[in-house]
Amino acid sequence: MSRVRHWLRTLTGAAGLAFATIAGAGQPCDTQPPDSYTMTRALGLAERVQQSLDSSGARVVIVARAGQDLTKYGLQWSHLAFAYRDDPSPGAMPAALPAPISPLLGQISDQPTALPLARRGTWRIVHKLNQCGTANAAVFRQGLAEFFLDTPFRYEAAYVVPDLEVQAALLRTVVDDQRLVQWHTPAYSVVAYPWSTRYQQSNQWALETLAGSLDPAAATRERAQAWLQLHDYQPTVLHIDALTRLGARMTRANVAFDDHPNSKRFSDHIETVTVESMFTWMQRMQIAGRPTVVR
Amino acid sequence: MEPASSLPPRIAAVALALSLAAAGTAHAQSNVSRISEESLVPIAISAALPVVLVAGAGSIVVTGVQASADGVVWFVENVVDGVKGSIRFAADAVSVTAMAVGTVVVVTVVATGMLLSAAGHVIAFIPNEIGRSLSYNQRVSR
Repeated sequence: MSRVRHWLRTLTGAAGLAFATIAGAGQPCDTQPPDSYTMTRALGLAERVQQSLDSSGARVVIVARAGQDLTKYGLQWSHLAFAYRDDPSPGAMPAALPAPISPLLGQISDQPTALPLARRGTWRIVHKLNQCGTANAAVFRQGLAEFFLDTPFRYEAAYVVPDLEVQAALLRTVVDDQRLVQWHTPAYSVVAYPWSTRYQQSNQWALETLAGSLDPAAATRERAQAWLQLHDYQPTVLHIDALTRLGARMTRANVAFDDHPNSKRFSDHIETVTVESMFTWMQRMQIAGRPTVVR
Repeated sequence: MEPASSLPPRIAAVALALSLAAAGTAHAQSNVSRISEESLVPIAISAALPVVLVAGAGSIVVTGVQASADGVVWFVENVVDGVKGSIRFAADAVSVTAMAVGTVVVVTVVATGMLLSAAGHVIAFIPNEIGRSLSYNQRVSR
């Protein structure tokens, strides 16, 4: 009996360690309010990120946080989101402000343009959150403070600025609640397979939403994944052994492996969408620059 | 700006009304009064507090809690000199309604506003203009 208990304890411990959350948005259901030190650090980071984003000149970026220690997987960042500047709509602007003009065609453009600071809106985050470690997740629009208040492992952030065309495409999505859920599946697994639609983790939602925003034909999750394969997106490969997989499946509602092909799963080869893989792919595609780190 | 006329004259005379009125979109949703659904930190929509607290750290004691359809108001008193003030929250912040009279609250001024703590935990946040711009919470998908 004690052997069984020891085995179970080992299994549970391994699972807990390994699945702190790859996608970083597995929120513990902790109703304890933060202490003032924690909250001061989170608010401070949110303010520094806001200043950095303001000075970037971008209208939409992809921002990552370090919610968990994933260094054993060679990962620095755990969870990503879109951040966009919620500027007043053109209709709300004074008539004296010139309409944005495309430098190439002389036509009205919906690409991001420079606005006077005083007319700039605030930065908003849109991302997918798995709350309380359940098997479900939802899409949220939040402030930078909320984004960094989820007890991060490190008070640091990284963001990449997409090129103007990508920003324009993303902007149409991030302000539109219907489009934000177009590529969303509530069923959540922290290690969801990138080429299956059974589950979806947070970073995968962001990646598929990006794909769908860039190509109108990628209007469903299946088509967004096909577009990503066509454009050579490469997920991160995690090496997770059978004992750890079993322990995680037994003890965590938000971990599942049955969406992974058997051949990969049984060779401990678990592919999933990570911040690093998305940043790397965007640079390789030349649709975003190098990450900027804010501490 | 909290209108001075909404406060008893004695409070208005000694309190600095903070410009913390809710800004349009940030408070358009019913659930934005909490800085995070997980952390459950309510956000004040207005406050009138003694100047000495606004300038630095200190403690206040809650002397009264008044709930109405428009929200919840804490009446507070500076521990050091008894100067009175008030803090107003949105109606849906349950934890502020349950605040016990007599609770001593530590006030800490940060770059983004003021943190109110009790028993080592932050129980509310009074954002300044920067703090307001950082805070928003809306569930998009059902």
